[in-house]
Amino acid sequence: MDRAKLAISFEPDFRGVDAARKAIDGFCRGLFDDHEAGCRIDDLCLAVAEALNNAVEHSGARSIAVDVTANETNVLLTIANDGTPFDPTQYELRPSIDDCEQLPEGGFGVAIVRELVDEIAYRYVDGRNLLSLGKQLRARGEA
Amino acid sequence: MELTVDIQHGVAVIGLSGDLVASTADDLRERISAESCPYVLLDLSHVGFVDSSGLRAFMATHKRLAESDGMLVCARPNSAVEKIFRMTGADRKLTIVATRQEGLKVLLARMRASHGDEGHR
Repeated sequence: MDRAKLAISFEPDFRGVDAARKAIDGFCRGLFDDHEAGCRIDDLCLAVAEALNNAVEHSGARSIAVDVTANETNVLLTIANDGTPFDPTQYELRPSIDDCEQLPEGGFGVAIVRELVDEIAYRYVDGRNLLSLGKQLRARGEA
Repeated sequence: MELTVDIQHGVAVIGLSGDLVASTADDLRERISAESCPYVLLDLSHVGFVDSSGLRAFMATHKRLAESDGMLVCARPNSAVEKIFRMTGADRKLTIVATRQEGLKVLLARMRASHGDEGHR
């Protein structure tokens, strides 16, 4: 059963990304306030920031929305934008820090997203990219 | 992002405060470049969050200074910043230290070694 929800939408700019990340961070920390969860929230917020940065920088979207739902142990986010189709789950890249500045667009960000979340899924529906990111913030049975 | 600059023995000690993200990374890179000092110590103790845009700013600054025979040292990153350094391999390229004092020591030693080389030419 969902414990809490958060819905965010913003015009595609980097200040909007910052605001969204901070809102998601605050939402998660309000629900999961132990130290272990804190580290996982750091990871989740970095993944979300990277995914949102890519949407702002590369998708040509006119609007971006993030829906967040949390239950007792997990958080699931769905990032929707109306930009050009891009499936990060199919992105074949093994970025090297030596190529940091020459990476194809968004290269490092995609790798970071995939590393830091527990679940990632992508669909393109009715002209919208829908990227779902899931992360377990607390083990079952923990207070 | 707020930035303070203090020149100590020819080293630009730059204190950063805030988040180093896409909306602030380019500005940071330009402001560091504007100091025109080849030896830079970045104190990250008040940096809360760094994303890959911020990481690119660090790497670009590191590369620029290294190409002009200078050096970048990053001091006191928090655990979240350390993690992005580690997961991207940036910790194998950047010099990262636990204290400002350690960072200054590293940079002053590099400066002496560099000037010593010039003396022998």
